[in-house]
Amino acid sequence: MANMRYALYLGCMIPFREISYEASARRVAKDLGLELHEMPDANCCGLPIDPVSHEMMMLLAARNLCIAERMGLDVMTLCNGCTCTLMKVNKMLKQDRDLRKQINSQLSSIGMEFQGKINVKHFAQILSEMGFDTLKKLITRPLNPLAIAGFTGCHIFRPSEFMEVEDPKDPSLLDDLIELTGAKSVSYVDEFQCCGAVEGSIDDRIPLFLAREKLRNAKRAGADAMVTLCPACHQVLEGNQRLVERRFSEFYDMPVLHYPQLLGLAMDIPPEELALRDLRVRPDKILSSLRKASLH
Amino acid sequence: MNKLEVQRTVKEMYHRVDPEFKHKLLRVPGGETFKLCYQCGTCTATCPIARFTDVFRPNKVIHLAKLGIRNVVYSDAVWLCVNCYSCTELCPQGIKVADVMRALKNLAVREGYVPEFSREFITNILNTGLAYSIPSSRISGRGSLGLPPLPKTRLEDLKRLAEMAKISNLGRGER
Repeated sequence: MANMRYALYLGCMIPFREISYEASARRVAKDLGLELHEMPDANCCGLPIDPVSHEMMMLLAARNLCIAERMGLDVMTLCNGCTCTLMKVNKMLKQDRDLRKQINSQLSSIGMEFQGKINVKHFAQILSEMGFDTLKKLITRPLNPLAIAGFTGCHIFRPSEFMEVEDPKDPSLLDDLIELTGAKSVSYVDEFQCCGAVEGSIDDRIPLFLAREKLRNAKRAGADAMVTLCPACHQVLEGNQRLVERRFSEFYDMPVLHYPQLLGLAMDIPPEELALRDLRVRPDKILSSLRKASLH
Repeated sequence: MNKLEVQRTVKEMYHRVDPEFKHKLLRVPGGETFKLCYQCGTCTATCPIARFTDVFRPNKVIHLAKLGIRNVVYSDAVWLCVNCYSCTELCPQGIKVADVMRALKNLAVREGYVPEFSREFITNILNTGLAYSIPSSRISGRGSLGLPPLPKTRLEDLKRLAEMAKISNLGRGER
């Protein structure tokens, strides 16, 4: 039986720009029977500070891990960046006794100690642990008419040294999750390449080029919509989509859903409860094709 | 270029070369593997950023670091790396290329080069606990979506940790 109780770690990007991801994930988790607990004293996962100080990144991540340990719960993450940072630091501190000693001596000044009692998992990984057979029973409205291009992002499977994926050159997690909803999973050129989100802070041109490639390749492969697992990828592909269109005088109008929104539709949760209205590229086209399909 | 100018250029070059640099880099966490590079260029071939800019070539950065040309660390080039780990996955020498880039950035910070966006992150984390400063309308809007309030971090904890990591004076507007 899969673990069903988790401490939910939100991170920064989701409350900053991608609340629809959080809202839909919580809504879907409720119907899945996942019990989510808040982490009232959590801080930034540490990833944005890694370029400045590797040490500070580890301290910030370790502090979050300690909070979850106190709650006695595994951590569920929604953002790829947070997943990678927390999972990596958790493993490093579990495996490297000297490093753990050093970090713990620093944490002791704020009254915390890393003990290595919990695990960190992304929502998508928890779903696959629950088993596709179990989840299939909850799919009451299969999304057969849709062709979906999944965009996995980087940090949920790279660096493979820490991220435990079967085949880091061709991870199938998101593919399987899309097929679960009854939609067709479309593969396209560069689907496992970086979205370039972090790049925006130093050169804001490059993420537009990267987003354009993915949008174009997904469109050419015949996708009706794209799906992401990470708020940063979503921000680049969806939040910047109008900018991309203007910059290159091209037209994509490609809805990009957070995965829980897609799963929620397949579980017949009403669209308004999945925060679909908060998307900047309206998914009206796919909603109407779903409605048409259910009339036949 | 006359003789004097040539001499001056050579002298400048000489001053820019730091024979100790590679030893310094080897001691920064993440920098340990860079000397194994034999310049095959696989990292650059797979780098999503290198496709759209002429400034950033991971293998070149490593080559210059080996030579001790430290200017490369103090330029924007290494900060273009987004840490997507594509290079790390493919390096035939097992070099953790993305970690080397991070180590170079850490080194640059130690010597006083901190980009503005990093200062922003530090300031936000120390003031709110999160890396982005979230507008109050979005915080109050959470209730209407049925979402619980955001975490309230004990900020004195973070200040403490930042002091230990020696970054507490790197926030916005501080020099």
